[in-house]
Amino acid sequence: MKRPDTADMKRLARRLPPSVYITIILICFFGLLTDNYFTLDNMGVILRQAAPLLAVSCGQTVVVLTQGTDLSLGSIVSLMSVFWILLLNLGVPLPAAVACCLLLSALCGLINGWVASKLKIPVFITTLGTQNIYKSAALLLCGSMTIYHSHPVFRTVAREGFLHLSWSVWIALAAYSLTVFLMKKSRFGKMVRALGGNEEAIATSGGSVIKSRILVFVYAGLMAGIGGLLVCCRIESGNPNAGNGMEFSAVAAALLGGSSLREGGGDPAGTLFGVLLIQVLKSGLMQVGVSSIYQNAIIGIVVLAAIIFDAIYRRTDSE
Amino acid sequence: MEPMLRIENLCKSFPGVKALDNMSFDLYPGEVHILAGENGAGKSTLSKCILGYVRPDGGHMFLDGKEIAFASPKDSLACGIAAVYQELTMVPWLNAAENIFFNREPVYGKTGIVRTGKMISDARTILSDLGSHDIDVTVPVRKLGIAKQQMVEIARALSMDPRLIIFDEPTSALSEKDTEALFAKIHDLKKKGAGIIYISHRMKEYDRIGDRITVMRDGKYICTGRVSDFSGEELIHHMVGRKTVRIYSRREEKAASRTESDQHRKTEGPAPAEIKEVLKVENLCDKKGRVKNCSLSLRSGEIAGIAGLVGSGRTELARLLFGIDKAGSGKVLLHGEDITGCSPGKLVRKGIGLLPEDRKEQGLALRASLAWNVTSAGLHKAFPGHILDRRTEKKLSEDYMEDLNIAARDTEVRALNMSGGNQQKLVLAKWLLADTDVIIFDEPTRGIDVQAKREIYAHMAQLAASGKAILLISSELSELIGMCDRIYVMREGAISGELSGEELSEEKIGEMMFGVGV
Repeated sequence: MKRPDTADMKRLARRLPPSVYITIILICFFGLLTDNYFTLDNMGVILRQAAPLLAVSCGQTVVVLTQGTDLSLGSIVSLMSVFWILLLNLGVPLPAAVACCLLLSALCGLINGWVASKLKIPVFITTLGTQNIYKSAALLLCGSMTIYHSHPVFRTVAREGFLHLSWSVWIALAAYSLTVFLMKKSRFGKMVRALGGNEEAIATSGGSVIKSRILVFVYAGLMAGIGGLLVCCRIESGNPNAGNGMEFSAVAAALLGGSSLREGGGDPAGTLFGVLLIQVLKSGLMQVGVSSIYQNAIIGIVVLAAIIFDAIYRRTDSE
Repeated sequence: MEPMLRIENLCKSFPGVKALDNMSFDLYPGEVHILAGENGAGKSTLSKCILGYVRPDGGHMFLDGKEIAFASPKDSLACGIAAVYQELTMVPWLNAAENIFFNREPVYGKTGIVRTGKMISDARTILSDLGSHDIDVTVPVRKLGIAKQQMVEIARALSMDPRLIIFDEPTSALSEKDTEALFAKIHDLKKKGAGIIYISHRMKEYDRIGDRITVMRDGKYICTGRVSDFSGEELIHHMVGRKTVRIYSRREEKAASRTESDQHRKTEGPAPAEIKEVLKVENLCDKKGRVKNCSLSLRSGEIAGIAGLVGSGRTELARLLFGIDKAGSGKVLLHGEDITGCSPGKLVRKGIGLLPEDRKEQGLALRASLAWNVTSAGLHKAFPGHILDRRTEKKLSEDYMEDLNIAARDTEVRALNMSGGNQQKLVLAKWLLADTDVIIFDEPTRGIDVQAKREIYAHMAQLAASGKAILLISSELSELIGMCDRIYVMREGAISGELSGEELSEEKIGEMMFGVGV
């Protein structure tokens, strides 16, 4: 009875992306360097900070699986945080405001998808364009200033929760579970993987490439919208720069998690660990007291190293 | 009886080509109707029109007497029309089950949630029905090898339970056994009353499974009749439209020229001293056990063949020789120099060229121009100073277009837009420019028309006569026998024998390939 168990464990260990191990190593490392690291509170804080990025990364992972990167997701995050506060300031009831935000984020995704697939503009260029457009829209809506609104729900979502995890973490985990489930178990997921591999397969089986592609971007937009709302809850304000750079962190998280830009294969489930790695590193460097000048470089090196490590590992695995 | 499919005066033009020109065709239930013609004759365009891939410019199509105008393959699928495409249409990292049921996955109710277990067992059933019990439906198809991928492709079409099915060159990558299984399946489909359109360049298959045959040429309808009413020569005559051609035989040509030269200049001709060993392979093995202890030698001025079933390690051996995969053990000597472990780039300079088996994926940069492709392997010969020069490139390309009879509008046409035969000639041009002493041809005539085949054969013979050493890998035994001085036969990764001269016969090679009677 024991033998198959160890074999299963071994197989699982081989299938886990390297980011899992690197995250564990980093946690140990920071734990040894700082006091009070291994406390439930500290872990809760790290996860709470990671929540918005996890939501955005879920959307980005889906795009990465189609061999693209959506550069506009960070701007959608900013836009949503501003838009939500604006609506609340105008006196729109909270649930309606949330619905409007999610609709707008889906619309942003729809525009991305429509331009990229219907007008056949490369994804990179399309989303580079819309990135600037959505960013400007956010600046315009708030007059280039951080806008505030106080509502008890922000605190509830960002600070209170269940099992030491804030509601924002649970919301992000729900988005993550939904993404993993859709990618692995639904027709939509198979479609996404075909988009990254062989579009002929979609056409010859009677599907529509354009429709599938648009759906991918709408999904990514929605996830970024959720990310924007979570950011908003955390900072209790609408900030037109809230999502800056998040699209790249999300790409890194997807790649670290084992989704591959080259092979379209990979595992969307790994994205969670990619996000954790980035967040553990970020907050750890802060806690250890590394100057912010070095922080970005260190994050860049670790991300790159993990991806190189993963590529080598994958190559030896396939031989 | 009413035909299930009737096509009248179908026309379709692409920029610069009339792909279909007043084409007419019909198909009855329970019949295998063969569509024959050279590459570029319009067979694929016709099937794409039927499938709704391409919209015809004019003409009519009737299914069961009702006029049809499909906007996309979705509509044709809904009418029970399926196809096995010439190009693989699978997602490489999805497994066989996921590919077979792509976009038609069994789901729970209307949820869109896939029933993975049922999908896998259904895929296994379909594949074992085709005699492919050994295909693992849970590994990504890219790990399966081309023959098995083709079986998955066939299984995919059959799983749609079609009443009209189009096979476009289904057997070009299949082994004998798989081909038999496919033919048995086609017979079943016939009995059930399905209509089958079968496109193939393999004339031997026509008699085996065909009922009627329609010949196309330059997008036009040429003739239709019972398969048994046509002889091979007649068919070739109809397809080519020039005077009847015989498939090339280098030995006959050689004999003819020898008697000629014997009469004129008895003492001349290549002295025996000039014939020297160019390539020597000693106990070569790869790292995965697909090539085992292969030894062979290749002399200048000769064509040596490698025969073997699909999966016998022929292509893997070629990849080792060309340095794409690294050898596990053994040695490769070129002009006596050890070249084991050199990269392909180095080997080109040292004098080995490879025309790979898959010209689209491996032989050409499809999106690049003809001229770009011509100079891609011989950059060091064409531009020794490292600086590219468009005029030289154009001049070289035009020379090769003329020498090799490559049909293209100009040198800037994209490789993508050329027909299969012309693409293969373009690959050949690329290696002629590189001017290597050893040229390995891996399935140089797969899926190309009779005329282009003959031209490529003639060029190979000419290359050998000029002192090059040629290694020809092929699945077509008649091609090997027609072209080669000697033939190595491979079986299960090892060289199981060598034949030359009078020993060269289909039976003998077949025995060695299958490992019987030894």
